Amino acid sequence: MMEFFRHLFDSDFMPHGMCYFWNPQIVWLHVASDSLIFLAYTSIPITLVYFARKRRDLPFRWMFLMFGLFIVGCGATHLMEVWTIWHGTYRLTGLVKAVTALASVSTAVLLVKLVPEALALPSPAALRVEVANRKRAQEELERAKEGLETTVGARTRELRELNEQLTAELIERRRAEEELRLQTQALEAAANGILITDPEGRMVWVNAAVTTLTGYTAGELLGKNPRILKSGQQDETFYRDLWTTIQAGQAWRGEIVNRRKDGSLYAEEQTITPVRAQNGAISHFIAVKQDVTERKRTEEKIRKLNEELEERVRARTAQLAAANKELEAFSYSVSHDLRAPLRHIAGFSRILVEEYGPGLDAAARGHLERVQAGAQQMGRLIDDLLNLAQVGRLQLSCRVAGLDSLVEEVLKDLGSDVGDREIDWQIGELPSVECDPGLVRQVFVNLLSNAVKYTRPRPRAVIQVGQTAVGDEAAIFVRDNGVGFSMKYADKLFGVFQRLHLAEDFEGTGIGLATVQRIVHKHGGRIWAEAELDKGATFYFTLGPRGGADETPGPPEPALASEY
Amino acid sequence: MPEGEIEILLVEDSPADVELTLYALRRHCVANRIHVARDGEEALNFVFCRGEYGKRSIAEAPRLILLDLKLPKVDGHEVLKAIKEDPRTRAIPVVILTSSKEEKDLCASYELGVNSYVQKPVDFEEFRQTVTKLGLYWLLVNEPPSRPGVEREAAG
Repeated sequence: MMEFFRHLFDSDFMPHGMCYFWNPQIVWLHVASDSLIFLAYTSIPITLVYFARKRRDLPFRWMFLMFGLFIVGCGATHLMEVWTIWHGTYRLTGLVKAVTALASVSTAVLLVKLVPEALALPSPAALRVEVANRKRAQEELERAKEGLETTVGARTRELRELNEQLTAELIERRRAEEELRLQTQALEAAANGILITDPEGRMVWVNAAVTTLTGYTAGELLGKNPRILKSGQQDETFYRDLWTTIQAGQAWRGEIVNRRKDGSLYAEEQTITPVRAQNGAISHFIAVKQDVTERKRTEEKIRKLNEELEERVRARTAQLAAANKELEAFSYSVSHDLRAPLRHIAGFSRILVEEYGPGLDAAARGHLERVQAGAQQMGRLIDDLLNLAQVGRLQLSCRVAGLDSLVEEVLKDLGSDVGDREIDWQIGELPSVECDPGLVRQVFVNLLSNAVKYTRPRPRAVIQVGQTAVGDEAAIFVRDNGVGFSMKYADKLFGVFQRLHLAEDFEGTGIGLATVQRIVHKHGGRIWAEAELDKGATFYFTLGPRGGADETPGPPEPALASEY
Repeated sequence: MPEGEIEILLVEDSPADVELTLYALRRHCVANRIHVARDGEEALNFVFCRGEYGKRSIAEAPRLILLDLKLPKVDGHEVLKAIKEDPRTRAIPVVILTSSKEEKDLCASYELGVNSYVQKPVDFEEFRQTVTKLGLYWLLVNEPPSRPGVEREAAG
């Protein structure tokens, strides 16, 4: 065998042409025919391979390859026929034929085996029917699909809506739960006792305040009727009324005295409200209670105190009325009776001087003059005191008055006090205010005559009257460059009979500024002074609390009226 | 002016005041015929010619009455009221001359028809001047009516 393949390409036999005796016609006929067969046999498998490659879905593709292989083999045997005309390589020719035979037989066998399978392949007509059927089915499917999609879309929408609704409900429920939790906490923590009973009156819920109020624990109370708190202080009718009211669906409000667990009594203010179920029947009662024991005690105390106070006020008013009446009578009597003897003293001492003067020595006349001066001073005191008392009693009769014209009048009347003294009057702009002009005139009379009096030692007196802002209120001031006073006595200025100077230096009764203060206070204003010893003094006053709402009216009237 | 006619009726309970008033009036020769009544009752008797003055004629009315307020028995306001209510005496000028100048006294007096109200000054010089002025004014300056009350009584 090895020998065969070693000489496979040896041309040791006669070429085939010899069999044709090199007859050119036969030789070329064979050459041409075999060459054409070879070319054709070669082109067929190329086409088959090309076809098989393009139609990868072909059934039995491998069969095409087998056909190709066996046709190539056949083609090769024909090529070998051409070759062997000139070369006697019959071993090679035989081998090619053997290979071809093998391929051919295999193909033939396989083809036979393939027949039943090939027969099972549908025919193009069957295929067309099938295709049509499938197309119809496909269309039906498409239509079904479309319907389904619509249904699915609608259903999805429904589901989405339902979902949204559920989410909203969930949020609402959570919020409600949170609110309920808060409300429960609030009820639990409330200072007022809150208890809830069923329609039969058994307690089903109590808050902490109830346990504090009653001394019972929640465990001891729940399931029981609130009548365990009964003190016996209310009669049965009371409870019957209460029960009737709330059974009728109305709220009941009232005070109940109840008994704690430790036996002590307490008063509570209670509101019982029926709660109705959806069917309209009363499902619960809610009672809100407040311990009013302390309040009642305080109220009772206040009531007693008030009564006492009223009694005292009545007594005091009666006393005051009596005192007032007495004072009025006293004042009247002073007015009439005290002046008469003074007049007599003054009158007769005068007559004494006039009638018997020539017979009296200078000392006697001096004494008589002092008697007269004393009587006159006493007369002035009585007049001033009566005036002060009158100012206290008078009702203000107010109208708008120009302070400038008031001051002008007062200045005219001061003429006799001024005499031939040199006084520099500096009267500034003064407002028109609502006041009792008669009384305010008295204020200016006093302040200006004081200014004139206390500047007497000055060769040239300067007296200013004007308006100035003090804080947020407008104050009227009267300023002089007189002898002034030490501020340490400023608090005594406005007291009755208080004098800061000797009577022989500066005459006066010590009542003028007290009267001025009383007039200013009656107007709701205040008065004060600033001064320096030997430098002068300034008196300020306001008429009424005009500067601001927080302005406190003058201090209450000092009890001067009761002194005479 | 008939002889003996009373020019001034002074109604005053205080002897000291009487003396001082007379002193002041006479010193200046304002009036010489002055009658003094020491209380309200006496004053009314004098004016209306009753009691101890029953023999007097109402026609001889004083030309001026100086009346104190605080008086025993019948006080000054009652006297004033009686005089001013009676048509026969209404025209007689009445001047209240008193210690007090209490507002309520002033008001009451004017309501009752007083002709003038004067407070007696404590200072005697002032007092004298005041009384003198009063006398001069009411007796010399002021012009009285021609005695209507007197005429009526005469007619009756």
